Amino acid sequence: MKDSKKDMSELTEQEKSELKVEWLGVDGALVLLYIALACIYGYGMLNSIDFIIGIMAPGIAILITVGVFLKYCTEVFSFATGKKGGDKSKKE
Amino acid sequence: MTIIDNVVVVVCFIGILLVGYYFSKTSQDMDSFYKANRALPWSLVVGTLMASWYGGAGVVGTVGYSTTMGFAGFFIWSIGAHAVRFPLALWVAPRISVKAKGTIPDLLRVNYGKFAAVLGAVVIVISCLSIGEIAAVGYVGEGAWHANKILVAAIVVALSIGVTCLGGLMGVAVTDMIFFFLMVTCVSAAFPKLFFSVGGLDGIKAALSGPAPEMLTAFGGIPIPQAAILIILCINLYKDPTFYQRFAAANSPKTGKRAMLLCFSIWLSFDVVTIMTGTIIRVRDTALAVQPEVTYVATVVEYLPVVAKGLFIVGILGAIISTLDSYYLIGGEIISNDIIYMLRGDRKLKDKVSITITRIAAVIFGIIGLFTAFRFDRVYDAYLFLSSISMTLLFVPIIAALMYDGKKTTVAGVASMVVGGVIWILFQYVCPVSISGVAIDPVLIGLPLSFVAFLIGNRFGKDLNAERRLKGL
Repeated sequence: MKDSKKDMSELTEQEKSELKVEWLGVDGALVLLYIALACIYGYGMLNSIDFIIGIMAPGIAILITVGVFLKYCTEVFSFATGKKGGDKSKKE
Repeated sequence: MTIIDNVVVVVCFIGILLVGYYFSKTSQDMDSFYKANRALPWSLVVGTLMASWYGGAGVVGTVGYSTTMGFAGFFIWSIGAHAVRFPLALWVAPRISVKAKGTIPDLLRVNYGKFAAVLGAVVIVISCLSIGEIAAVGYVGEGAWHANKILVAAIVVALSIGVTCLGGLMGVAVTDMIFFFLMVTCVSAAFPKLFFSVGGLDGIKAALSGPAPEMLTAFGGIPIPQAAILIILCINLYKDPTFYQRFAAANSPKTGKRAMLLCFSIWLSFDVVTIMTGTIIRVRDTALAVQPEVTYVATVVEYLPVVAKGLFIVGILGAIISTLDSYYLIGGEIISNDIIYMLRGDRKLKDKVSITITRIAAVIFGIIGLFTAFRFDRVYDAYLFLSSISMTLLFVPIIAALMYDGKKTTVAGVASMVVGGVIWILFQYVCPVSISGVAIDPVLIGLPLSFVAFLIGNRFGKDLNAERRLKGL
């Protein structure tokens, strides 16, 4: 653990590419999602729109959470059935 | 709480301990115990980041604070808090994954030398006591069972220690995922009924326009100095050791980054729920005659059906457990792998000894936390106290270590920490400053002065960064 430090100049090409922010890809979409939600919730709060605050906000929190949880469950399932192990060894 | 709800609570917690026990068989060496073999997938990183951040202070504490902040809690605290953390997700998290594969003291050691690392390690270990979380447990116990808060806190601390000692990071991450799911779904599912019971936003505005009209405006519920403190404390996450551990344990740099970016949207939506719940609590008790945290738990329990009540309590207590076990694990890791390692003259401990020390440390953290947690009036006050002092000391040297690749000296690291600490103690205890009757948190003064001390200190001593490059480390 103690000898695992690296200088930025010694990063591999793959690591360098992973440090880049994909503004036109998933990274940008996730940033936009946050900005859109902040505007919608703020608008709903100041203009007394019950649907946005009472239904949409908790609904979105639940939807994303259930989605992430299901994604994890499918990963555990595919790992248990050996699929993931095969993929990983291929990658390495 | 009915007998069925109590059975649900007991069964869920036995299940969680069994998960920890399952992972205890696979976490026998240091890399698996502390870093989960650096194999955490995206979904698990989202769950563990979410649950570790949104503990008792995040849920029960936010509800309590929102009873006086109102809408400003969303516009200043929530939007501001997450906005200033975007650089952490976009640029710092991937760098942690490839650059800081150990702990924060490891990072400090490489950039500023041994003394700075020991000093940083001690500060982090103190912040790992998580007294705000333990204080929150007491209010949940009072609200759900009218039980003695210290007794409930002791049970929850014992469970947290159990999960930490058994499963290591993988056990903590998997239980975090389960708690994250229960916490968000149960707290959010209980909200619409509560919200419409007071007549929605029109009902809230009608009820509060007389006693607390400032709560209904975007920036009115928080005095300006307090708002500034909150925004600055939001960047506290940049030096949070549990986040470093998660990013380092993620299976790729992109994993940690994208997990955190998604967390922002969940946090924002969940903040609306908790902040509006706090506002509703104020509508129901405008004089705030009862502790709002206790009223919140009691109110939600009253509104939910049987079984859902039990799951709600598991979700709330689970949020607290998942935060506590995360901090106990990282605190124990820092004691055994950093402090003891350095005190032994850089000799590594054997894997089994290191894990045993971490387990003992987790027990000690729990005991100290129980003795200190209930000395604060509000959950958030306990959280803010520890955040404030640790941020003043650590923020500047950690961010410089991660984001600045130029010259770095021992004097710079030590000076920024010592100046930050001294200024914090001076303005907290000797000459506190207040503007318009609102106390100014010493972090506002300590942070810029810590940065100045870093710049001046960086002019003295050897460039450790250049030395490291020459050695090819």
